[in-house]
Amino acid sequence: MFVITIILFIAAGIFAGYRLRNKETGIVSRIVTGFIWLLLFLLGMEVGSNEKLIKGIYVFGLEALILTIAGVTGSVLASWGLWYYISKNNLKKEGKK
Amino acid sequence: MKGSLIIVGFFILGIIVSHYHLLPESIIHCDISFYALCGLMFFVGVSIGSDTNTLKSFRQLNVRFALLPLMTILGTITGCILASLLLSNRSVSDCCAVGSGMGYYSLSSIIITEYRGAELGTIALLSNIIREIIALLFAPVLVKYFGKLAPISVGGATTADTTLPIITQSCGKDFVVISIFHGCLTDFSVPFLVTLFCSL
Repeated sequence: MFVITIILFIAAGIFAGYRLRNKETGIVSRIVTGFIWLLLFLLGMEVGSNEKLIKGIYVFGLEALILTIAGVTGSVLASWGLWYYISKNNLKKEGKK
Repeated sequence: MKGSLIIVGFFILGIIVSHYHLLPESIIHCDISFYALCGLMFFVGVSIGSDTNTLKSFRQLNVRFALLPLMTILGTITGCILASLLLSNRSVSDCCAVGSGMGYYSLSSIIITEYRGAELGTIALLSNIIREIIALLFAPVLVKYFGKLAPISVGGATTADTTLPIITQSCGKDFVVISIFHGCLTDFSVPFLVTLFCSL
């Protein structure tokens, strides 16, 4: 149910945004930033009120680091593969748009 | 960079406020964050829908380079699936949800907190901040050993904004369009991928 609600909100936003595409929508990024500030503040409050989270922050940090290194390594290898493929097939135009 | 610091600042401020009981704790137990998330999603949608630049930059692009966002997503997810073998107390879908933030730490940690709780949300926040920092620090090294697409791929969802300057410096001006295209597409995929992995 939760997933459907979220997807519906994004979909409604995309539809509204598409209708407004030729209008000035500069304020949208400010609204997004405001929501992000509020929600990260609330996430911080949730973390701060949870002793277990505060005490475990190093463990979570390590888990985060492992996941990041794994994800970064995967994406580096995948993009390296694509780079190799493009360079091989496109020697003369290498690096051009 | 300044924007990122402010965002992290709000997170730390929240920790301080609740740790020292400066605001009533009931705030986090009501549904404010859910309604705010719905609002955020709507406006993220508006910015996706009204963005015509992605389409424009797509037209100038070599078709093969258009595969880069796909490579970034597939590589990241594969890496996270492998990492989940190491992290025995985390499920594969948890690891993929954290990884599919692809550097967009604010949005991904917010969605994950709402679905899976503050613990995984915090991991997502830390993980995706680290990813952005890696992209900022290691772009020149990555170009040297893994080609000019590597720093763009590592930058993930941030390559259209925060990491664009360093990518331009490391890869050259020819790669600005690819970087922006990659950033926009990866950025758009984050809410969908994170939601998908959270619901598995």
